[in-house]
Amino acid sequence: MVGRTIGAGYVLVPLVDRGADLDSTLSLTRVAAFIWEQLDGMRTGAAVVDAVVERFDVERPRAEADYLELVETLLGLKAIVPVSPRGR
Amino acid sequence: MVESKACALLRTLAATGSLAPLPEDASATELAEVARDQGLVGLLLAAIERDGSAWAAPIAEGLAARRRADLVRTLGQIGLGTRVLALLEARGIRGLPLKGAVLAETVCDVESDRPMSDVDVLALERWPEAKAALREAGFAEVARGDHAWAFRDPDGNGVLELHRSVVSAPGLFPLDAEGLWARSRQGRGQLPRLPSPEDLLVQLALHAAFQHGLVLSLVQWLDFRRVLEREAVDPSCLLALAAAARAEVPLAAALLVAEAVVDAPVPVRAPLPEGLRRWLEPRLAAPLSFIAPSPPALARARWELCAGRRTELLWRTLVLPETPEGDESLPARVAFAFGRALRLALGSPPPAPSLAAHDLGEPPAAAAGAEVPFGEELLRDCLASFRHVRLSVTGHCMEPALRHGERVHLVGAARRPPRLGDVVLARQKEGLRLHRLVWGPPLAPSGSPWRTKADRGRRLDPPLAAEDVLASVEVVEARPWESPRRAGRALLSLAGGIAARLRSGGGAEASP
Repeated sequence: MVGRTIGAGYVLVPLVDRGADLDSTLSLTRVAAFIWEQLDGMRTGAAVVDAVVERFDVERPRAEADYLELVETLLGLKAIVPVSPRGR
Repeated sequence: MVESKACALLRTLAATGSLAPLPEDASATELAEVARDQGLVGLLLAAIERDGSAWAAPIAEGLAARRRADLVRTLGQIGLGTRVLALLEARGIRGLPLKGAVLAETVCDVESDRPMSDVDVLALERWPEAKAALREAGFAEVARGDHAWAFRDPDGNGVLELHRSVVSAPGLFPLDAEGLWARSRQGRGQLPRLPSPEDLLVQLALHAAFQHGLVLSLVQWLDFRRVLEREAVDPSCLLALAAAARAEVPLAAALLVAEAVVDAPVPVRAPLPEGLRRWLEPRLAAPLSFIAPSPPALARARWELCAGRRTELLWRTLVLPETPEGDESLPARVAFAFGRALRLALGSPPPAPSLAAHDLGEPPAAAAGAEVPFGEELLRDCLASFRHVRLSVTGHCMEPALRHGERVHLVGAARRPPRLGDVVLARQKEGLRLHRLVWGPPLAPSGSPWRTKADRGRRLDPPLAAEDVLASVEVVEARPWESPRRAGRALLSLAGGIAARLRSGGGAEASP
């Protein structure tokens, strides 16, 4: 999947056979798009939540909930995979 | 590997759960493509992961990506069905989901195991108000059929088919709205209510037998097996419901074929009319003939299914509850019936729907200076950034070149300049359309306007500039060996469009 910024929106587009599959796009909120861009396989979940708190000036519980909700969705879609600390 | 070999291998997988070894002359990539077309990506991937076959390793990653995409798409589609049911409920209109969405949430391990081209919702009452509710909520009408109208979701989750009946020829198989509602059950996922397993089976059988002439994709045949294995189906209730819907023969025929194709455990057997039995028997020995893209003998199937009711079949086929324009008056319906009978007798295709059928995005909210719609902007971005863009076709106005629900690959005009005869994605005043370029390079002089037209339309679309053509169709996934480009057809279509314009007195605009 790749993220595309379209106007004020952010969309995840699945890639299939070197092409973009527009039947299966996923629109993200501003916070979700920010979280997606932090998921680089290096940062921990706590670090991503810290970044959300700093960037959007929200309470930590709210940022944690947003992070967990998105990660759960993306894991369900297998758009991301967990990386063990040793694998980093 | 020829497609039939891949299809045979997948049929065996669907019927037995076992993945046979890939023949030496076979291509794993082609097998993966056929699995995608037949809706069996999840099943094939599970078998590959279970068996650990070395030959399958190169395609596993692609299948997994496809399954992820199917999951995103299917969840969005079920969400769309749920929203529409809520929309109807808010108006006091009862509705129930049909077919794929129900199956995805009930008998599949994961929703991606039941990919679908669109979502079906049955309005149990007040059909005109149900259509109006969707329009007022921003849904764009893209196609009209006898039994259902298709609408595009303004939130981008695809196409919803709002049904007035399960299959064409409304009334031929009576719909017991009160009974359907009384027997319906609470949903376990997003969908609030679901039809009973017995009603679901009758609906699947009608769809398979009457609507598609007993030719379906493998996943659609697998639906029968999954329902029969995973739901508590009461055989006597099933027979009683089929009798009430006058669907005993379609049910018996569909179950017989499902048994032949995917080894579905048939709970009830009913006698078939002699003609249907004679027609089916030799085919049951060759189950691949029941799997798309085998051509269905639709007229013959309907004729045999309706033995003893053929006068009613003709009447219900010709005289609809309303014309495609929504006119319920008897004179209008009879006039439409005569026109349809004439077309059927002459073997000519039906006229194009009144609305352009390939609506891939909402039209701009205002005239010049309006913002480009989000969907179009994403499309333009992806066309510029990727080798191709893949999306589903909606509507019927380009059939048989492009069929409703088929997936196509579009290549941006900058990468592949459009040529006369191409099916192109063009910005028209009403929105984006996939129509054929009937006047353009290399015949059109540089700088002159181009023209497009739907293959099944009578009139040319308004002139357009070269920059309004965004992309052309490179391949139709279901038929990768066929080029969608038809230069000869384009010129004939152009001549037909000019003739139509002249006949209607629009001679001034007749030249391309």
